[in-house]
Amino acid sequence: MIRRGTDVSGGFTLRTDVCVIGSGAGGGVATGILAELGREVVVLEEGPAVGRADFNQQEGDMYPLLYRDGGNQTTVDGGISVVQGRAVGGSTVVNMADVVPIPREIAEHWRDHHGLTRHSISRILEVGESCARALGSNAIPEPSLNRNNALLLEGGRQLGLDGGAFDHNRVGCVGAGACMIGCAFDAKRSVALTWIPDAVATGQVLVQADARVASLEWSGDRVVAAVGHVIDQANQRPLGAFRVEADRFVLAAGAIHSPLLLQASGLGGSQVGRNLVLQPQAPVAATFADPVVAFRGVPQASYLDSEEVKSAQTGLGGYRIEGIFATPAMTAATWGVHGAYVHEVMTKYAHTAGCLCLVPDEPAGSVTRLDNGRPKIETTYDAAWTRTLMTAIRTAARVYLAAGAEQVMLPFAGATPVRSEADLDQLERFRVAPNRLPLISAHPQGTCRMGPDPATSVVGLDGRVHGLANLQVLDASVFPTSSSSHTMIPTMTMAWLGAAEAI
Amino acid sequence: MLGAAYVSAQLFGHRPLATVDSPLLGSAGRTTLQAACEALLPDTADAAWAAGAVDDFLAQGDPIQGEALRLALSVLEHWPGGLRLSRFSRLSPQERREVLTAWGQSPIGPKRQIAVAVTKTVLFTHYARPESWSGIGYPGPMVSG
Repeated sequence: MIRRGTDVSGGFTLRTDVCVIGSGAGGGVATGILAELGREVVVLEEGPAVGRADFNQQEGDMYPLLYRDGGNQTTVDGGISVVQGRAVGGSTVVNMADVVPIPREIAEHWRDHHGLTRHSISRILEVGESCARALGSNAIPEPSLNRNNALLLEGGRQLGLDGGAFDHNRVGCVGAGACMIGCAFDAKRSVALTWIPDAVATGQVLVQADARVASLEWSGDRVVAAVGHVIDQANQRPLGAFRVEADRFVLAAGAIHSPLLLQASGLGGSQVGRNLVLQPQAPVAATFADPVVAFRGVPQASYLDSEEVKSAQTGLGGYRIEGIFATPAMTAATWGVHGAYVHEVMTKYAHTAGCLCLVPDEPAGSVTRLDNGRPKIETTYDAAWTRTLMTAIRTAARVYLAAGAEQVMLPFAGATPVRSEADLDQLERFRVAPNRLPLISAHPQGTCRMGPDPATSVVGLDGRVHGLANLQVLDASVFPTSSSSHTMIPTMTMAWLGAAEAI
Repeated sequence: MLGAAYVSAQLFGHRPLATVDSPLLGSAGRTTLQAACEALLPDTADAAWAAGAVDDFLAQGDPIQGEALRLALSVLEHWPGGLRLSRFSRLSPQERREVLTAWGQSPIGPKRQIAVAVTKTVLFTHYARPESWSGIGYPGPMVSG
């Protein structure tokens, strides 16, 4: 069953086989696999239990309801928005539904350079395919692309750049365009509509929403209980206390909050919170004479990946450009570095096309727990990464010019509209630094790195925290480096493999 | 106190805004926020409503977020510099716009951070409001497939 905080506002105590913390791509799949194996599972989810009736497509209501910090979570310098869902189903409720498994080359990179040898490459790829299938993955037919995504491909092809349309986990999409604030039509087959209800149907699973875990109690090499408070979603304040005892614990709170919980509990050693990958993305937009109507249709559906590097030697690198669009408030806020000029941009909202330049970064960031219990998210802006980002921004602008844009808007504060390739010379006077341009991370990874050596990693090859017999981390935290350009299926893959371990 | 505000306004420009109390931002924070709304939003927008909506938004979140914005607004209100002799909320809307633009492009990281945080908050609130949509050609959510 799925239980709300209001059902147990005075608190509760439970005893179960397995306690799963988090119900997103990692926790949802782990719960499903464990239930299949006959285990009794209690899932603790900090966010609310919500569904299509709650998704009113109003940004002012949905961001506070469905996102960490109402969508305002950032790195400590404010330079990168770190957007994460917070609901039963986690980020799969609010993501762009892109199905991109761990590429073979990345699995080989992890095997050869990070010691991830427990599963064969073919097994990893096979589980990735199974995860995609379970979500109803299907290809977006290119003829069905909205004009925003079609323009990206058209301009890219003019420049000789390769690309295509995503596979996605929407079934029966009506093109409302509000994927980021919950699908009011249940077309996006999130974990909340697939793995969670299937697991609950076994009768062995209790999903407790509105339950914020504060710490893990442990003794010797075993975790004995997860403790915390039921919270009031109206103001995030704590209500009654809870305690869940279990034989096995699965931590799947995401790459920001899984390490935070380990740190709060004094677990995991010195590597916890290190090696954060954010995969920051920068927007480029363009206006066209004819309407683009990018706010309808599948918002993120096409990509240009000629310059993406997938290498068994070096991992994921280069860059890719992806067509994307958002509802008005998020669009305006994203371009906030332009100040009051944003209104001029917004008057052309219906004629605007947009994309994000995704540049995988090295695992050089960190998450640490502040005294107030919140995460301090830090990263670096290393020279090679910023050079690649500038190249990607220039390419995206050229793509739009080739597609016939009237003008292109660069992301940098103080940039002037680009109407010809010569106008791109202004890029020379900008530099990438916090709050000089919008940067968005929707794929935080890597803060509880998997590996054989406790000196350089947090969890072993079966997902168990080094030195602990019954605590696994099964989410995007465990990736040694960038897993893919989209993390939903990679996270599910690791959760599937880890949950199937006999522990 | 009121006399001092009046004299200050006469000497340094714009009249002080009416004080509205706010549970998270305090009356001073709310005044600065409304001043930022006036500077950043189109003339036709209701700045007082927008400032109130930010309050409502903050009330649904972690109180620490409200405290962070209150602090940012306080720095914006009082930071001296350049030719600016008056508090932010007592500048004209045009002058406030210029301050926010200058901060947004400042070499000083915290100034950029404050300008961007305040601007994003105000813009989000404005464009989340259905009344703003007709001006940008957005028909609103699709209500049926």
